[in-house]
Amino acid sequence: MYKYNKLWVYLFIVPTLLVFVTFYFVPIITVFTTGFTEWNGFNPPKLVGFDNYKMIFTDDNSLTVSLINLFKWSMIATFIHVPFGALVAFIIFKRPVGWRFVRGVFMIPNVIAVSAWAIIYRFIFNDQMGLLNNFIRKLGFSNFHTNWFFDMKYAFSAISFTWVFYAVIVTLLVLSDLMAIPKELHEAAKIDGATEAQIHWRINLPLIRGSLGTSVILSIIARITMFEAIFLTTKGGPGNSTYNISVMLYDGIINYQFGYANAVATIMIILGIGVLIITTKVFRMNKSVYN
Amino acid sequence: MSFLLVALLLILSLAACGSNNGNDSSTGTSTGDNSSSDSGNNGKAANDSGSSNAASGKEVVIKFPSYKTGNNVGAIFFLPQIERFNKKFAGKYKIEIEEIVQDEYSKKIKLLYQQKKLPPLIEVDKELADIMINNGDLLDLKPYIDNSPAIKDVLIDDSVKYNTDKNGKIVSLPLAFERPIGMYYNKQLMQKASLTGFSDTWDGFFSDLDKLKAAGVTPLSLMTGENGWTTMLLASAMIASDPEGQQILTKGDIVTNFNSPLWINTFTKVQKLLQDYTTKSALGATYSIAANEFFSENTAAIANGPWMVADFSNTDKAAEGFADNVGATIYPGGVALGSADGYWYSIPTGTPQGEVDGLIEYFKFIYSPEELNAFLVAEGGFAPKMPMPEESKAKLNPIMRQLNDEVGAKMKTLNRLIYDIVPQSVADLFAKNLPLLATNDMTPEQFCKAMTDTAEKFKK
Repeated sequence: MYKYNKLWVYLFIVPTLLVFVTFYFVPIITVFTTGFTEWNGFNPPKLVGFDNYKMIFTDDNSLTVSLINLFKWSMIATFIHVPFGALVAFIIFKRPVGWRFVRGVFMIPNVIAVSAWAIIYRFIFNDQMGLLNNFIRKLGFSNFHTNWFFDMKYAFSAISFTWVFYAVIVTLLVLSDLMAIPKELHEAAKIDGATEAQIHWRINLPLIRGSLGTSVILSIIARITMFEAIFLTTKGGPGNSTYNISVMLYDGIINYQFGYANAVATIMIILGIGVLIITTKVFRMNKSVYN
Repeated sequence: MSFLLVALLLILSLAACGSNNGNDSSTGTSTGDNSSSDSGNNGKAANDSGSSNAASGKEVVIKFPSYKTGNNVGAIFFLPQIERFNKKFAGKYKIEIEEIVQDEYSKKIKLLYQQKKLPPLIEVDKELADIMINNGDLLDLKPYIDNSPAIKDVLIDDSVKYNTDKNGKIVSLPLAFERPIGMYYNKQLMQKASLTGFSDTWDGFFSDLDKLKAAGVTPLSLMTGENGWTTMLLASAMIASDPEGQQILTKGDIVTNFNSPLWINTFTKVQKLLQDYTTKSALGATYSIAANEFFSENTAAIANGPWMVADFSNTDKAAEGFADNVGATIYPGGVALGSADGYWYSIPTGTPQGEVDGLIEYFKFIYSPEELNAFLVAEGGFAPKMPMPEESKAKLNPIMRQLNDEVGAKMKTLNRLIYDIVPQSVADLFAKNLPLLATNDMTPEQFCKAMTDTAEKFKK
């Protein structure tokens, strides 16, 4: 009987394994191995050892700039994006008047493609016809002119603005965790004389740390792979002020350096794994919430 | 056990679906997405299918992407011309155009080439052409051109020479016309500064800009967004007026070192143009914004090709009568841009014969006297081997006529653009760093060094 069940288990795992191997594992191995080759996409790859990595780490400051920008965006993701999403979840959790409306409105940006958002923001931040500048000029600053995406001082913030307040994934994750907290816990705390703030701080927050950790992971990984919002607005400029590792990868592809691009992709994968490990440790996600 | 059998059948049917999809993709190549270099099964299938379509008398559909669509000024002539071709060859050949923005065209072609999914007709830049020629991936047009006097007789000799590779193959359709890129100016605004046109020297040109500024007129429509087109044209003209620069542009080799006085001085002047002589909107401006500043009479001049002339009379873009107020000129130093030494339409090898035949008919069609003259009337320029008939000349827009006269009277060199001689990585960086030059966050020396570093980094 046990053998028979085992056979069934393997049989149902096979399609998933096939999909994983074909669409994930093989491409990852290909990316990793071709990162050690010179490959222009037209001719067969030629093994060059660590040349691509040497190029990435020593040729110019592209990687340094990308990592600095990634660090800054990760900080924004961790300390603004995720808390904002969590805050909305806490508000919705209390079910004030119109909470369903808020949840619906908060959802809208997420059903619009990132590329579409990038285009929308190009118009919002445009100097001549942009909503923002026209509003500022209407306020009485008639000579106000700033092209947010193309001014070194503002481009980074402008790009950050395209995603920082769209945190519905965080909200949904946190909300589902909040709703899963047994009501008895809250009632017991109230009987013991705990205030609202104390309930949030001592009970709710510790119990949603798993979803907060997941949100941080998702959010930082989204920053590592962020491409459309940058490419369709600043293309990483002006200068390198909004450059990131995804644009670096694209530059490799468009300049026929597939080996280089795949070495960059390998670094992206390593960064992603690093984020996963660190966040899991920080949020103690591998331990029970009641520990 | 029967469950087990059902499950196994399900997996097998899934696998079978996968293999069917593979077959579908090779069938797909026969409808247009053909392989450029693959002479394997897919290419063969495509060839067989394309030929059989032609042989069976079925209409051959030729589908390729073009940037001369949508808002692109080239669309005004190009798309109706395609319709005329389709009408003439109805039932035999039909061209279908896929829309793509100009800025992304060459990148898309590169990506399609890497995926071996090139369309039957492509425009290649020098960088890609060199690779495709080396790999033997461009169809030799020589036999077709030799057999078509209608094409052969109108081609410019220099262009034929440029498009012929070391093995004697003609890898891209040589040009039959030259369309000098110059500048357009607003006569009324120029008059405010007591100017009737721009000076013939660069020093004089800058002094004219000062006069315009003193008269309260913003002199130039520049842009730093997209590919920095109008700004790049002025930079190209500056390079072309210098003897060393002229030599570099004429030679046409890809440049990877910009750390020389020629480039630094040029970008010092470009910085001055961006800081002192253009609109605030130039920072990050796309072509449409730069053009709009000129159409709205906010600036006195804009650099662009003759294809822009049609827009001056387009009341959707400019006020009624605006065109009457526009004059045309070439650049200081007797420079006009847009050399005939360049690649144009190429057909990848492996394109089904039926489609190749259709495209050769298309080439004959666009180089027929009626079509070529209509094109020159609409978009400017001249065909050295096919003088324009008087009736066509009479139809010529006065601005085009003025540009042609300027070219005839003043032009000392008709040369390439900077973008024709720099790698893609540098062209991308150029647009990305122009805003820094404008805001003084980068010196011309740093600008040139950054271009050199990028070119070196991706040097093959």
